Amino acid sequence: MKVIECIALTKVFQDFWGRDRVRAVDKLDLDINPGEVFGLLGPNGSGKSTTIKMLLGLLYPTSGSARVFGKQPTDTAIKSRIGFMPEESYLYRFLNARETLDYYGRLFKLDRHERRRRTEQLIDMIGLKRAANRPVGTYSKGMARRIGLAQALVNDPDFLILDEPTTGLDPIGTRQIKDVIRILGDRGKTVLLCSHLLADVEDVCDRVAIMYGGKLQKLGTCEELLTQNDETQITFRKNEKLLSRVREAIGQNGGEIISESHPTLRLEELFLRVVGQAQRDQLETSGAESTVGVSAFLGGDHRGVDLVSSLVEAGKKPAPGLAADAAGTAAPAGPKTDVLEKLTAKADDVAKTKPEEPKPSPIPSRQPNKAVLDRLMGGGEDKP
Amino acid sequence: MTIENFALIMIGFGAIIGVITLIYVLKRAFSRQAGELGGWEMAGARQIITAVAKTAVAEGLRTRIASGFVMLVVASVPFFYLTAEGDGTIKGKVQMFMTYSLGFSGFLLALLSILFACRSLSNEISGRQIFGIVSKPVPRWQILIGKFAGVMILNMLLLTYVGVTTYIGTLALVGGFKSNLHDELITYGSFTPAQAAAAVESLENVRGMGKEGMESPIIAAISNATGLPQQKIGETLLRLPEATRADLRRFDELRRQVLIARATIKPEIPEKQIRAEVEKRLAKMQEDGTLPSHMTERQVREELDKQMFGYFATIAPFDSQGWILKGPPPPKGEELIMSVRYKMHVPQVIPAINHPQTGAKLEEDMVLCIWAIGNPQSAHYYESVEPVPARTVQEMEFPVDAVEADGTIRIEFGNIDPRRVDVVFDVVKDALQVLYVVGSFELNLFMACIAMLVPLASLTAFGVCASTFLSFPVGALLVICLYLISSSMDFVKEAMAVTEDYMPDTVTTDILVRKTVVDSIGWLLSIGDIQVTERLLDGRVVGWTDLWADVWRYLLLKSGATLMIGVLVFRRRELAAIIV
Repeated sequence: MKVIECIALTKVFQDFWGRDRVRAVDKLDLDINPGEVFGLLGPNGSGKSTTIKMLLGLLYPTSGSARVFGKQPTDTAIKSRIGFMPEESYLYRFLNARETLDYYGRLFKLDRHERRRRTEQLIDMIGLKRAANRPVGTYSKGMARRIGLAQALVNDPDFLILDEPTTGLDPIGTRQIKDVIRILGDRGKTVLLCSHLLADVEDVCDRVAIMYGGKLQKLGTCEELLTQNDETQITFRKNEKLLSRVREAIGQNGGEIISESHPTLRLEELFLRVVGQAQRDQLETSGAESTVGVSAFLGGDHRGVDLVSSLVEAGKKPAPGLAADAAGTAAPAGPKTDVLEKLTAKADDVAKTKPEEPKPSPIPSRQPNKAVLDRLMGGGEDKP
Repeated sequence: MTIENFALIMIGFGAIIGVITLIYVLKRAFSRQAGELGGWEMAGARQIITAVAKTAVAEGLRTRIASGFVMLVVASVPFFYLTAEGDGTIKGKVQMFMTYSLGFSGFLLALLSILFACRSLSNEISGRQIFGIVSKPVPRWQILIGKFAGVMILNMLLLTYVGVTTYIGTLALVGGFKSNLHDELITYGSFTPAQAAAAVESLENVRGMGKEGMESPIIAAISNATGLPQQKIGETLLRLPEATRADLRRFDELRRQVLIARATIKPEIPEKQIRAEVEKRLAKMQEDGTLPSHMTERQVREELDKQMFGYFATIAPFDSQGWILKGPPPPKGEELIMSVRYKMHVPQVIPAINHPQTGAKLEEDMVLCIWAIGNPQSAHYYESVEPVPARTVQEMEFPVDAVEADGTIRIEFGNIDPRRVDVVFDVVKDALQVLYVVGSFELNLFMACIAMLVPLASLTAFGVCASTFLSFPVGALLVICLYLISSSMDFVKEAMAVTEDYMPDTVTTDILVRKTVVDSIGWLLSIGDIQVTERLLDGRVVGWTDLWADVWRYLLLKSGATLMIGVLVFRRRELAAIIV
């Protein structure tokens, strides 16, 4: 059974007099299979959120149909299997983090013991332990987003819907969201990620749909959409002699060098290292603490080795310069083989083994890929 | 254009606007493809309703606007305690304090219920917190019931506070009077502290009706408690300041008439039979052609009514009349007193004579009569034969055991005055009532607080219902308007000239329309029948029967129906809808 099945799903918004004004979603056909991490992309106003709201029963389709777990989205029975993180955290300003999560736990009819366990683990996971007794209304946007994530996970959902999950989040929070998505994906859960931050989607999604003007423009796996079969990229340790020979060989064999550059560290990784270092120096913060890992009841182990520390630890070994370490680590790393996943999945094993070194993403390959996405999105104004 | 036509046009105009609004609301509610499906199963409902209610209470106590209101309620009762003055006597003070503390708190709580109920849900919808709730397995009716319960819990908390502080305030006022009296008895009356304390204590045990001067049961009670002769007590009391002496009598009244729970029962009037008799006579007059030519049929009927009810209440010389009254059963095993409160009317002045048989002197305007209470076959039957004053309200006291176990009270009045006068009781206008103590002031205050919850529940239900389709200030203003109209319904009836007094002889269509409209609005907007404050001021009991009638009619039926409408609207509502 498909998790999501939309057939010619259409939503038209009307004006006060009942006249059709805005066709937000137009004959959308979309299936999401169980266990899939699905990315829904599109510029602002392309109908992503409207689609999600129809899938949650917050909006009713004008025509066509949507099925979630084979039932109408307005059926209350299916909702215990869904987790939803809205595009902004709409929380009760007067409750604190603990009360908020406890409240949502009650809405899932969890018993007191289970609610307490999950609340504590989730608060740990999102790094708001110190701020847990402050009213949510006093939180910064990013902290509120973290609560938004936690409330979406409180029922350990089979199907997680994330609407713009990373807006307002710092890179650590962003990374955490991706980790959650990956771990849930590995556990066979279904995730619908709706975003216009292309890098986020690219990192975690199995399949991607791109919407524009309420219509589906492109649908396929990331690999299908992003691989450029007519170009090849090789990364190796810096060696001027070898490099000039490669250039020579390419020239001699009638090849053409399109671009040549040193791989750079992704800003996300740099950020993680700097904050990790600060945290190791035990600087005080009244905001969200940097924690990495996923609550145990979600399949992760929140006691797992701190990723950030491990990254810094690993980075220290070869050389003092951060950029240099990263450049020096040669590994054909992709986002799928993340350190964290192993760390959190088997915390005890990892504790014994030497932490792996951080692996830079293949930056050179990213640039053309992004261009493809942008092209597909019709040069959407959203910056990744 | 006549006034009548203008009123009709305005009513028609209002009706058209109402119908258009209704059509618009229904169209919006039902134009979408679907609404919520399922969700009627009860499993786990309690947990969700509790969670929603708890959050609503937290909202009430923690958000600024709401907690401001709560603080106002909290501060008002002590304020009224400090400012209670009334007519300056102890009774006046207590009554004034109770009127303001209960009346004002009732008003504040009504506003609070409306604001909370309207704000909580519609703010959640406009603030989109509802997205996070409806996307969870929470049926929408449970959200509404949860909100209702939350506001009611808050109301109960505040009412408990109001009840307790009112009680404490009343005790403090009484305590203040007693300690003042105690001091004055020592200062002016040269009582020893022990005697003064005993005297003050004895005020709680005064029995019998308040008579003037030395025969006052207050003097008897003090004399009993202190062991001093009544004469000396009388002289001592005369030395007290005038205000204190007045307060002594007033305190006795307060104790018997206010700080008590008394059932008030009126005789049942066989209205149906009387009306039937009136119609029969009217028909006969029409048949015989004896209808007075200068009177309309309506006037004749009224005249006949008066006559017939007059017969029912008139007791001819050496005749007697019995009444059977039904009230709540009296409390058992307590030596309590019940009173018959009556006002006799005699058509002419009756001169003073000596009784032809006994030779006893019968004063002017005093009627010699027999009052008998209770079942003559039982042991608890009491008779009193004495002359009593006409034209003033009298209270006679009997032991409460004269009331039969099922609450039936038999009263018999015999007119045995040798001067042969007609005695009239205007039973329709409360000229004969039986009051008896059925409980304590504490219990009555408690019941009154429960009764106060009923209108609050109705308003909360209105508010919650309104918040399912109206945004915060709009919904609240609407319900506040409805509340104000409902509490000034008597005024509206008079303004629209549809009260009994205004009804002319011939009822025209225009009047009928007006009356129907006003009556149905009154019926729709009524939120409770028990006039709590008035009852407490008279020491009249707020009984379970009345309370249950109120609960049934307003809480279960009306609030239930209102909430049901809210649920239906809310289930259809597209929560993330935008109007472009």
